[in-house]
Amino acid sequence: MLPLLLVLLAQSPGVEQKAAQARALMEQGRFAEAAPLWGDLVKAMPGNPGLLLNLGMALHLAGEDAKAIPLLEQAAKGGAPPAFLFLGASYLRTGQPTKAMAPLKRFVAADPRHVEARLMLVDAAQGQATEALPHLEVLSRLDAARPAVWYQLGRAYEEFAFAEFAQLGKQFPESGPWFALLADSRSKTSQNRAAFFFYRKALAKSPGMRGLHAAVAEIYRRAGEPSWALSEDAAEVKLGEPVCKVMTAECAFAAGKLSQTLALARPLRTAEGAYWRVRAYDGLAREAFGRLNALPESPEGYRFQAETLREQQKYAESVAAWREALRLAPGHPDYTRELISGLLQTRDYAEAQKLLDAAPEKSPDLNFLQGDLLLNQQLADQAIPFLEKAAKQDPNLLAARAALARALLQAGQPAAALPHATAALSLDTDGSLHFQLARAYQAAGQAEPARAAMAKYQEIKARNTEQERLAEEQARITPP
Amino acid sequence: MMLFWLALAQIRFEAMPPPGFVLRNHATADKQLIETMPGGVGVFDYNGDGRPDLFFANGAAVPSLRKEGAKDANRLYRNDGNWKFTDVTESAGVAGEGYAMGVAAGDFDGDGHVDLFVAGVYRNQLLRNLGNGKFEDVTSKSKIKSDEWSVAAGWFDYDGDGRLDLLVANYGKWTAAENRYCGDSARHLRVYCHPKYFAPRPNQLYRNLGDGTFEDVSVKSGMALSKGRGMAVVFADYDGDGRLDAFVTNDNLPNFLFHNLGGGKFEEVALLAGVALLDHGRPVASMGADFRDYDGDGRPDIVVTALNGETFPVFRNQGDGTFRDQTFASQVARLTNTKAGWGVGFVDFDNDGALDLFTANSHVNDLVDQFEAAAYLQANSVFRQAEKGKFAAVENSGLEKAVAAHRGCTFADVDGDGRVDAIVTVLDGAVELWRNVSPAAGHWLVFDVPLGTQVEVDGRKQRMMSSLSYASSAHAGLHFGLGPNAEPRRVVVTWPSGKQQVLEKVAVDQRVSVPR
Repeated sequence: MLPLLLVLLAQSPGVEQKAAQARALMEQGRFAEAAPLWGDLVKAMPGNPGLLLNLGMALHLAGEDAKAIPLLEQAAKGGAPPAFLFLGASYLRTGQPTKAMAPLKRFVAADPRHVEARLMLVDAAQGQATEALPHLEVLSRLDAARPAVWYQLGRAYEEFAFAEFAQLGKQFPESGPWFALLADSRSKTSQNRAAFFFYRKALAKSPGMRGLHAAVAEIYRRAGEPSWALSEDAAEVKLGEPVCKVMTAECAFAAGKLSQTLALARPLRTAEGAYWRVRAYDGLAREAFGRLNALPESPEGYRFQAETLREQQKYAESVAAWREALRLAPGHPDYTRELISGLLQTRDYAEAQKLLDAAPEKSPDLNFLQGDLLLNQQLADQAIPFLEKAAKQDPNLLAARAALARALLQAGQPAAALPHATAALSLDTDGSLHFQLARAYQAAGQAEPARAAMAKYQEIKARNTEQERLAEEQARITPP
Repeated sequence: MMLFWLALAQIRFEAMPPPGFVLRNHATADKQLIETMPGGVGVFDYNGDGRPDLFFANGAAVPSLRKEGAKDANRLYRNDGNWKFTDVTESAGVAGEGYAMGVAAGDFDGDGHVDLFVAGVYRNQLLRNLGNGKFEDVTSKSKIKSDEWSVAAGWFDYDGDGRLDLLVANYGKWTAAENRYCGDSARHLRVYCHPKYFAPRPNQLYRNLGDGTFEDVSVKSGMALSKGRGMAVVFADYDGDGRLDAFVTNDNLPNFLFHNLGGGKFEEVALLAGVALLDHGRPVASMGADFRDYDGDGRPDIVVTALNGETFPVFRNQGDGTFRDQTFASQVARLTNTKAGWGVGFVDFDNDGALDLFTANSHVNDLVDQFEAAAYLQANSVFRQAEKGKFAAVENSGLEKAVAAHRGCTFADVDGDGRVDAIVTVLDGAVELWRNVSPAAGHWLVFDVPLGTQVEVDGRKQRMMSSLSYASSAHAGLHFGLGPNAEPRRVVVTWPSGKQQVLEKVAVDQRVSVPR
């Protein structure tokens, strides 16, 4: 706890005694009892920044953040660093991360080695990698044993890699490096046919790019065609090693110097520059996750495993990892939610229900999951109240509104389903929501909008079918 | 009184000794999709002795698609009565060729003897019943092709010329050489690939020319315009225009409803009719089907089997050319959500006058338990229509004792006791014969009439069609459960020609051959 700042401009024996009593309560952690005493002192000496800070701190520590904020805002005007820290913390706890940024930054400027403050700044960044990354990089040096830091650092690097890739796609669409990265991403998830297709495209655009022939050879081997791989291996050898008399991004990457790769690639405005930035950020992310995995078991370590397995569509294994995360962090709301989602995916409805029953209070997410769970068990009537509650709690939770529309339609209430089905249409990638809408209109006796929605369904379906056909046609692993 | 009686009605089955048939699917480590899909069964009276006989389609070696000796033969069993069967495969000449899947029974040449069509993987067979206990392979003479992976087929007279035509449901493009690896290579769990990897194919419609040959009218009729992954074909006149329409299930694609426009033309109308998809708009693994009036409103409805979590869709005919998704309202959604079904049929097992629902269950993926909370081997199910349009689970039906990889199923009163029995095939296992031993079953009538004939008893109409379930066929009469009322009935028979015949005071509890 920070040292209490008590600056009494005008002292009296009663005031001094009350202040001492309040200090003692603070030291004993009895913040709720200390707060009224500090309140009396503030009344006695209005505008005193030290007393305002102490009252604000006591309220924050007693969980009364809404009351603490105006006092801490006043105290912060005095410039005392602890006021910034507690103000930022109170903003965060009251769901105002954007407001938390400025005071926390002021505090970190004054105390750059303060781990908790930097962690709060990372939280306040809400996944904005640009804001969070500098703090995470510092944290990884200040507190290298903290799994949460490595997890978030890895994810931040991934964000940067993704942003660079998106930029590459905009500036140099269908370039060799762009196809190469696309192929790498498919190869990592064992989508061999798609990877093969994109590597061949990359080679057509950038025949001199190193690594592509080797990647094609690897796919041939995975496909059980090692003899086809030989000529690709030979083509890779023929390209030779990069010439590194002058250090380039490619050379730095080959030497495993990822930060240097980034530094060398950063000024480049070419497709190759973007390519090496993506590779470097991706490499840094792998390194961070490697550090995470090297630490003793942790909730974040299992979280990383669970998310990776989910991406690979290994839902049963992902569920097991979420269970491990929850073993180490019992009751963690995010992990609980993810575990329930995983259990729904693997159709383990009984286990999902147990977790939902144990949840003390249902957030919009949990109400949605409860409704979805019942809907998946074909209990639409029972699902409707939960889905209605989720939609009411958060009208922007479109998945809940889509599920509600489906439940209402199933339960024979097509007219009630219409507004929710309409609201959720932006989620429709396969046409099914337009189909539901059409059926709801049809059942509600509205023929014309039913026809329009059905036409839209058919349009989406036809487009998807054509794309799938093209992808299937293109994605064949053929000999060199 | 009636309600009290209904409350007492129960459905019970008893497993009978199987006749010896084992369905050989020739499972390979390569997980070729065809291996998980055989299992068609047909029930029909091949020798005219009044007892329904059994025919089973059987697999073959993979990838050669050649039958490796007697164990791979398709099998015909003569029903000798009292649940005794004699294997007459050799003498009847029906051992067959290739990797067989579906069975369609129908008297295509109108000689009074029920013939067989056997659908298979690039090998279809038409077997003409000579009436002397033997069959003749007339496939090449008939001009029926073998150029697709055909799963199921059905006989119906689509053009009203008095001759049975043939609709063959084709699955998709498959070759052993193009099989890909699906599953989790890290855990060495290879599974059957998703249907999306098998390019959809059109079904084939053959018009019976009456001289033993057929004309492929798939293109001319308009049917070839629709490509799917067909698994079952069933028929009914859903819009009451006097012409038989066809419903074809498609695996992970919207189903087809081919509306018979007359003049030899069909229009695929499933989407607008509301039977292509459940109301949630996503295709399911539609497998078996039945097309029958389950709720007694005189209009044929549809039931389809699918996988765990997808439910078994029920589409109720609204009488205006459209159907309503009644899966949830009929309770079938809740009852089938944890099951995967293949064969299916609406049958009145307790003879109470309301059709019940039977499904032959098993997942398609033999390693499904490694990926989700589901079982590959499952027990069959029977759901009783306890109140109009609503089904309920039947506790202790006897079916729960046999957990297996069930596939096709068909129904007939095998022992002539008036209660409909069930025959279910098992992948790589012995066929199951389920004797209906439901206590307090009501009175009944069975009508031996040609395919396409409609019979009306007690205001309930049923049409004699043989194709049903998954890749299977039932040509053993039209069964009506009549409840506790033993009074003779008035029966209205509408022949395929449209001509009506009224039979007065027909005594209950008998098999009736209606003279034309």
